[in-house]
Amino acid sequence: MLVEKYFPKNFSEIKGQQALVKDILAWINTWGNEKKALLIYGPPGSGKTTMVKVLAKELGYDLIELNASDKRDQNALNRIAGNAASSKTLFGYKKIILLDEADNIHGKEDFGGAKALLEIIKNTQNPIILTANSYWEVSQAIRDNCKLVQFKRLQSRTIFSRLKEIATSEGIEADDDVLMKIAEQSSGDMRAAINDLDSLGKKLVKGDEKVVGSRDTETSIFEALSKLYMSNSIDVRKEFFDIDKKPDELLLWIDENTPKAYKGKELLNSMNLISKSDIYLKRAFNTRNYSMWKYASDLMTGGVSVAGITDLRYIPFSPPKYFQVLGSSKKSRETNKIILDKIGKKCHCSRKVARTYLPMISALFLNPRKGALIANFFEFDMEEVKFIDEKNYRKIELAREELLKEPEKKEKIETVPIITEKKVESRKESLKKVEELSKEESKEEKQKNQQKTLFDF
Amino acid sequence: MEFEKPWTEKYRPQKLDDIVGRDPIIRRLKSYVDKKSMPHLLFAGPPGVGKTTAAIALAKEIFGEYWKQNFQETNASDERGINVVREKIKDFARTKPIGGDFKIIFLDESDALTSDAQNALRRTMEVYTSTCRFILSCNYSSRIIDPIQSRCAIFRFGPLSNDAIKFMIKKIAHEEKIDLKTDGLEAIAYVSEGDMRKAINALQASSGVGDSITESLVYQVSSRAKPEEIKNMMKVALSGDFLSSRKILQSLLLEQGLSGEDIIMQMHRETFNLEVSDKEKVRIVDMIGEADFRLVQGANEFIQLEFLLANLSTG
Ligand SMILES: Nc1ncnc2c1ncn2[C@@H]1O[C@H](COP(=O)(O)OP(=O)(O)OP(=O)(O)O)[C@@H](O)[C@H]1O
Ligand SMILES: Nc1ncnc2c1ncn2[C@@H]1O[C@H](COP(=O)(O)OP(=O)(O)OP(=O)(O)O)[C@@H](O)[C@H]1O
Ligand SMILES: [Mg+2]
Ligand SMILES: [Mg+2]
Repeated sequence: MLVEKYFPKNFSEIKGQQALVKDILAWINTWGNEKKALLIYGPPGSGKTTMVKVLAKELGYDLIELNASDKRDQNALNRIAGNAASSKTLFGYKKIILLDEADNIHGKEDFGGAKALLEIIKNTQNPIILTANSYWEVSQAIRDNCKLVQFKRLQSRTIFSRLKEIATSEGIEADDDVLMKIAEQSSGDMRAAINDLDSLGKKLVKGDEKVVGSRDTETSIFEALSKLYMSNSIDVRKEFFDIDKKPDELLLWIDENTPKAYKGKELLNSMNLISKSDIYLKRAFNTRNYSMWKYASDLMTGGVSVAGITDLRYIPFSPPKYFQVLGSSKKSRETNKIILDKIGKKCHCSRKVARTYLPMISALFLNPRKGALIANFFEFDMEEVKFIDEKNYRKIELAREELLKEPEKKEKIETVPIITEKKVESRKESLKKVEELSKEESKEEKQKNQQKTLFDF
Repeated sequence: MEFEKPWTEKYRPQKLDDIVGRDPIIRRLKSYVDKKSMPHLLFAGPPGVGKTTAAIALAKEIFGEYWKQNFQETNASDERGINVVREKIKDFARTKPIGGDFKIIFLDESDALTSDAQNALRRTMEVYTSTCRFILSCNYSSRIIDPIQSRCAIFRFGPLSNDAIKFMIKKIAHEEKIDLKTDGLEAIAYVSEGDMRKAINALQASSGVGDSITESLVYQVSSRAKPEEIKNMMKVALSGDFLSSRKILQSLLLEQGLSGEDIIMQMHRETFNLEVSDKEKVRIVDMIGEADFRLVQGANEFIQLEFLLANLSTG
């Protein structure tokens, strides 16, 4: 694996985070004066773990590591990190304690972990470094006791030049264009980019980068698809037995590519089968009777094969553009319900109607202050705000904190804004107009009403 | 804590007279206020046209300062089942009114009550009439069992007229000091389909996104395509160019984030504006109906709508 082979051996090989090296060195060299723990947070593959490993190696520290795959409840933390933290250096060994992937250390499974961790941080005799992807998923108390270092997403340029180095030394022939595309697609994740490069073989040509991205091998599905369209047989379904895709995802692949192979009636018949497969999938999903998947699988593969045949030598297959995951987790359904109930209570309506408020609320969430104000009205907690808008919830929470700081304004008057005498009159006049209009209409309406309910609602 | 109400609540009419476009109904309701008495009422009509608003305003005017004590609101569809009727509703029906002769129980979405639950309600409605009146609200009165309908005075709330919608929207825009463009107002009326809640939410959503409310902003926030876009997609499909029409569909669903349900509804609406023969229109409506049905049954909106486009493109 290239990621392992090209694991940075020293600080200079950690790309794009040079400025932070200084901060970190300064912290460890004066350790004991400042905060006793360091929190490095930033997106995946930006070099957080790498940085700590290189640091330990370069400065000759022993690294004691606990990551998310280890149990990190109170006991475990005290046993491992606590011991290490409190025991003074024996025989001249220096230690760094790394709590990697420290997001959610306060979660249910790590019961008591956060509290224990806080104690350990406060009393440690050795430097502690925490890494996390999200600042917000580390509890406030822990954040307050750490020196913070933020790793940003790496720039495409930075990733590109690392890819280029690797390609050269591996003897991979690759266009700069392709490498740049891979770098861009990784969205700042060096690990992902290197893995993508790794998956493409020794010779890269334009367009190769399109195959990566979803990070699993897709050659086998292309082969199966071409058999599907080139033949006219229900047995084609067997070609798909080994393909490691859930039927709803497979359906999208077939849906994406069928119009490239078939036209006219053949296409229509295929789309019909695809539509029916989708219905079987939904039934299977709803009834949790997954044995019904087989009908869907048969129709979308063998069925579509029989529906038509193509004489095209080459079909430009592509992965599905539209990907919608079936269903949602139990927890998110619960949150959804709570949100709708909160809206329903305040707006005098059922859950069904409450749902129609969500687009409006999301729109207001684009503006943190307005978002905060409306979130306050509905008394949403942070999780609910996040559920509605995963992207902006932090800004909204910050704005809510700001609002709390502002001196409380007098609550606005409950009812419709006060209207001056003059306005009342003009309003009455316009009301009258509306009345007249609606009178005329209501005559017609009466006759139409019956129809309206039948056809329009 | 500082907060901002949704405008549907901020501007929910508090008095019967402030409810727009519902004149004949309001007149009847006001006569109950004058008499300080009323029969059981059934409010039938589509969402967002003033049923709940009228019920609350009526209670306020009849009970004055005691309205909260004498008015009980229940959402039937969220807590359907017969137990709600047997326990919660009955308990409230039993308690004595405060400062008046009777109380009002407002049963929202009562067409969502199972028929067992509705049957359980009949008795309660009769036994406690001396102390308690019901206002049932529903979208379809046909889903209310006959014996209950026969116990109620029936009020039909149709969709609101464009003028009523525009009047209210202009008023709110004025109060909120919003720059509402004429085409924006028209667009709000279009997307609202006579539903004031939809209209007001569209206005507030737009105000969250942009400074002046224009047609395209309204379509954008209310997750509606411009009518021309939908029409264009249909035309392209009808011309036999399935792949291009599918691209448009993709952009509507993925980039503009419309729901399949909205697209189907708009396609239906645009069918009648297409320049094709009436016979063709009938065929199209039939296909849209089938697609709508499959949309409900299926898991993936895109696939179901795609099938509809394939249908349109294979004449
Ligand atoms: N800045 C970088 N310079 C060079 N290589 C890097 C850099 N960042 C990541 N890599 C490469 O990616 C691999 C993964 O990086 P690392 O483990 O440090 O990521 P991380 O930031 O800890 O991510 P996660 O949050 O997923 O744990 C490393 O082995 C290295 O090959
Ligand atoms: N006729 C109207 N005049 C003024 N505002 C109205 C009118 N109808 C509805 N509204 C506004 O729309 C919002 C929703 O109306 P309301 O709660 O009365 O709907 P509804 O008819 O009860 O609908 P549902 O069937 O969904 O319960 C109200 O908050 C109010 O602001
Ligand atoms: Mg890591
Ligand atoms: Mg209502």
